[in-house]
Amino acid sequence: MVRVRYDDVTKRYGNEIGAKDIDITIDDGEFAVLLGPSGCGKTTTLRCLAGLTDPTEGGIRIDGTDITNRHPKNRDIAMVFQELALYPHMGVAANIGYPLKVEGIDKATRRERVEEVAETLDISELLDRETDELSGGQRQRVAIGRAIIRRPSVFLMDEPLASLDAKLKVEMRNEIKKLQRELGITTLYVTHDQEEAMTLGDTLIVMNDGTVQQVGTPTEVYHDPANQFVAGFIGSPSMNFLQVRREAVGSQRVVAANDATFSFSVKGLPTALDDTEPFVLGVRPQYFSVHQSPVDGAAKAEVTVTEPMGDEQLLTVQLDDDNRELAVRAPFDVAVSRSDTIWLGISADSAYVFDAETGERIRQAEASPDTVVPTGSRP
Amino acid sequence: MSLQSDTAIGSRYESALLWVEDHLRWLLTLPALAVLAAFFVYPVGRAGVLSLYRFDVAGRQFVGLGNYVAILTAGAFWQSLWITAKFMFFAVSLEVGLGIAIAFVLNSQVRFRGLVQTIGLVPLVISPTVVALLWQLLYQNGGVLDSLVAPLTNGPVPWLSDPSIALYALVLPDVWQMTPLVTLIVLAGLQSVPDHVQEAAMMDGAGRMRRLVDVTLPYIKELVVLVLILRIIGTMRVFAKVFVLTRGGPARSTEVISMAMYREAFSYGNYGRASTMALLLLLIAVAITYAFATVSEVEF
Repeated sequence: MVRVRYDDVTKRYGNEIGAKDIDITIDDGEFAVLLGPSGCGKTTTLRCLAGLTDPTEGGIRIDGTDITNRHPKNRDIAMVFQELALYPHMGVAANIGYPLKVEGIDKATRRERVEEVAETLDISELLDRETDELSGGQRQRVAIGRAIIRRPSVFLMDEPLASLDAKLKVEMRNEIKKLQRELGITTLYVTHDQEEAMTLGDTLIVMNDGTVQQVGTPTEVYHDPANQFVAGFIGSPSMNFLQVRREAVGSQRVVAANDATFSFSVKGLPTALDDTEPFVLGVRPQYFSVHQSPVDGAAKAEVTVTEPMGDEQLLTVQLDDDNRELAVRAPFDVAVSRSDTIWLGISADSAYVFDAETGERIRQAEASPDTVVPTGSRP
Repeated sequence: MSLQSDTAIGSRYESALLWVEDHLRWLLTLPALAVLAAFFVYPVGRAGVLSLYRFDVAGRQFVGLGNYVAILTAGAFWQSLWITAKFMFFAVSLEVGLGIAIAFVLNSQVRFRGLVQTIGLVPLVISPTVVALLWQLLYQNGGVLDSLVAPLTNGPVPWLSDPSIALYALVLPDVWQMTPLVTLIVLAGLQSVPDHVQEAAMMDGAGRMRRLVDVTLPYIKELVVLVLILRIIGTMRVFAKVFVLTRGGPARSTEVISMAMYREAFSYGNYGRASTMALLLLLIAVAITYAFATVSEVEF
């Protein structure tokens, strides 16, 4: 039973905030992923747990024991670094066995455990090689081997797949997931790649500007984002955001908040919305319906770019009188080309509403039959 | 006819081009080889030839290996070699030991590192002769060093005129001048140890000493061997400091090999013997370098 708990951890570098008020729990055996753009504080958060960075405030507990001021070597935590950090002057077997050597375990047992780990990672034939003779994927496996040989209670990974090519990345991703399931070690993984995060994590911890934006399963974070940042960061292509306001008091139709002339019908806008104040409407590219003739409630737009992608196509369109471009996913059989005029409808259940100033999600206070704002219950 | 001669010229031109292409690597290395030949091969060859002659008032006479036999069987050469070895031992131990220690301190101390590095360069750019002249002032009777050690001694210390301490008095200026070189090279090595490798060792459970032995030292090993070899060869050739400060005295107590060589060539005019000593010194230097590189398993 290994449960990691961050209690309001803050790390400052002079006047700069590295991470602020991090208050999260990682349950026993859980695969948690810290996700966010570069410089959002995810590596700082991870390093605080590793003991390589001292928090300025707050504390970290493993199974209730405060480890905030413990030396990294006394935390029973192993880590795979972004640069892999293999020891260049040691061979593969020596690299994997190094943590055991430091522990003072005898040579024969060491060799046995190294072979065991090498077998798990399918690198038995590499044990007698030097590290500079290995490919990227092999080096990766050696680094993971060195981290798991000690059977640590917590396993940390700092963007370990960053230097691999796309195909190898997918392959290693699957292996890491499988390995983590088999070993059942509580894991904290850092990445800026949302696809990697979605496929690997049981729990995603989305960070921005040093603070945690949302904690949830990949499905929750995708379908029920807490704010505009999370909604925009998760999903590719990103969610479209439009500054709009209700056309009239109580209307289910929204119009552009600026001088543009587009308007959409959006059923079930949250009742909390002020009828005259502008707000942000968020729609994922695949949730627009594309029509080639005027349809009631749809907004007129001009196609500027088409990108065929097999079963579907990605359209870049410009709304009537608006300079902003939207990304729209349409089925491949919608015959449109550049400069064509189309009409975009927003299908029910697919629009998100955010506060124009704070970016916080505005939810429907109580579920009504025609609500369009998802509440996390999507499949 | 003219067509034929055109073809002949064309094929000559082509074959010249082909020849150049075939020999390009040699042609490109030629300038470097020429410099090497002029400044290394020729002097060594010339010394080799000279070492087979005896020079005296009657001119030069071919003596074959006579000079080698005479030098190797005479006590003076071995005496000089012993003095050189002592100088080398004390100077190199102090320079390398102190140099590495200072490098470690500077590596962990971020403040003033740049300043100390710059100051460290100053002795390195001064000519050894000037260094010797500076130290001559320090060693003067009643000079700065005397006043520094005054509480421990009765009166002035005969730094350069006592045969039992003169050699050590020569070691000090060399240490003062060359320790920064060791520091700079080793510091560069220490700074090349990636932080993440140190951190990985920390996560793997290694304490400070363990990381020093398992991570840091392997990273700087080649540079330490390199600097050792550089300083061994450097101290083996020491001349200017000895010439300025003691001229090999008192009572030949500081007559290092290069000083003996100088005396043989320019006091006694026996270029044959001086050349023989120079070649023997070269052989010893090569042997030491080879031995060091082999024992430490370092490839340059």
